[in-house]
Amino acid sequence: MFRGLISRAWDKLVNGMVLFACALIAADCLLIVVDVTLRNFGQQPPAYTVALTEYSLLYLTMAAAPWLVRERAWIVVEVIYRRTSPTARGKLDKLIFGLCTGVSVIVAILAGILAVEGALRGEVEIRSLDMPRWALFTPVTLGFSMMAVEFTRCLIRGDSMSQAEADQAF
Amino acid sequence: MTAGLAVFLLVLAFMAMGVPVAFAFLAANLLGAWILVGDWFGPLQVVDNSTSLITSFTLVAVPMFVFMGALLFHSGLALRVFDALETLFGRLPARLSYITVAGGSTFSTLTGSTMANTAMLGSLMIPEMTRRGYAPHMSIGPIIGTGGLAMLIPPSSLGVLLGSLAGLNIGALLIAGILPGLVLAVGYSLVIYLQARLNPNSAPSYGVQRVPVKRRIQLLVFNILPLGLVVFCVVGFIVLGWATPSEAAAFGALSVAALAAFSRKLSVRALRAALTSTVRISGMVFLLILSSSVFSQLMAFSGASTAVVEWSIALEAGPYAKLLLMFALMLVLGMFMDQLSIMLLTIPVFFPLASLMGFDPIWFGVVVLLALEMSLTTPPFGLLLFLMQSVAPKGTTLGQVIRAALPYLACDALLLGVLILFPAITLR
Repeated sequence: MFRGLISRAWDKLVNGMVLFACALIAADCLLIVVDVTLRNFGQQPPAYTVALTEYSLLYLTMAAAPWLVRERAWIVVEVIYRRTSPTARGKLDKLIFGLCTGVSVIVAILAGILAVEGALRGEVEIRSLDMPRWALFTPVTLGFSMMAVEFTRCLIRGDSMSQAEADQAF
Repeated sequence: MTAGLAVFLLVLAFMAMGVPVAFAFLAANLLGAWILVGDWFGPLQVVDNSTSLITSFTLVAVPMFVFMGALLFHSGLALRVFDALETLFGRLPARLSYITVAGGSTFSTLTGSTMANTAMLGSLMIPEMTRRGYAPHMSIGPIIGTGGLAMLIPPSSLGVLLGSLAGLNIGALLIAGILPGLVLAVGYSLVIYLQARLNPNSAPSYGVQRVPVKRRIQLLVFNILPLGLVVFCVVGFIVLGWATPSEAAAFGALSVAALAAFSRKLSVRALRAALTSTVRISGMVFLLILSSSVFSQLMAFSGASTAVVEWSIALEAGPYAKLLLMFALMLVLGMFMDQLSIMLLTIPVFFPLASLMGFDPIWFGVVVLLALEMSLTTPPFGLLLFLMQSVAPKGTTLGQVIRAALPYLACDALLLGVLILFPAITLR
């Protein structure tokens, strides 16, 4: 029962992050429209619009990342994969999910180091909006950590890599 | 250089294994940086540099154009356009293939994203064409071809990226792509005509109701012409200097939402589906950019990319032979990496070289876009081929997709010849 509760909470978190990514796109669109309209009518638009929309791209990518793994929304070259026997394919699946988990964990750790270093040193990335560097790498840590969890779940369940279906592509 | 080559081969090995392309790049980047630098500072730099490229304002155009296309699709406006085109095309043999080219060219103009365009056309047209008994090459081929048109016909998000990276006038580059894009659309139509003529069974004819002229005019005025507002919001705003291409993309998305609302087709469900599709495609593209951009830097740092490019420059050949060599090099690179990485790798050398050889930079920009478009469909690893395979009916093999794409690749090659013989085709 406890496991089911955690699983449901995790699903809600992953889906909630997708909603956050959707909201970011809608907000970017409106922010840009307001900015350009103000500018073309001789008004002073807010200085932070460009930087805010730029950083939102990173946030939306990382917010969507675990869901992309779940949906198998990735590009895969299946030339050799398709030609392997079901037994070999099963082993290949484990190897691929294991590799992806490992890569995600490493990137999450390295981004975590950069975030902590940035916070301790008080580093700031200067654009039209001063962005603390920890705020730049925290979403990367979070996104890749969650991707690692999703890949691990695939590994444990014994999922197949080749699950991308036509209806999922758009 | 050896380390760079090793990283390159590692990416290929991971990709061949079936590792998702983004993770194949990431794994090779981390390992390559660790080997090249000698300690953990290398992989740390990989992660440090990866965020800078996707936090760029020019890339804002990508989700905006995808959102625009997705909203057209999910609100039902796209279907209305296709229905109207179907009626206007009457009893023409292989008309669904022509509709794909006509509609695809329109949506290329409206979405500016090749991947989104191909995905949308694939999911919209293939089920209907399969149901009507069209052969795979008659349905898959036109979709792959017109998907690539999105790179040439403005607003091309890749054109925007190329212009900003090469320091070109983005507006001039986008406008220069209009006529070559249209020529290509005509060429694609000729391919369909010939294929249908040579093998009528590949596009079986079926009964269509006769529609009065008045109804045809109504369809044109109410279903197709309003899309002019969207074109104006994107192309017009750029040409008039009211907005940058990324900003114009946001206006394009808003204008589609306004059109959908005006046609009573804008619902929360459609909006949510469009936003989810946008997150899916943008997330996938940005994750790929994030991982492959560092790969280009790594190749440059190891000296591998410079060695390859310098080798091609050192060859004693005329300007057009070198142009074809650069074109071929981009096609080869396109088999393995995404368009953005190719641009990052080649622009610093190719554009000064083109200028040295007396080529107009905007004209050369169009040639580069054409090469990038072709590289997306170059077997065996062109990204569009795989995207097409994922949206095609189950059981469609990569071989079928490649065979369907070949005549359209030939059209692209012919356009290169036209561009060389008649450079004035790139209007400005």
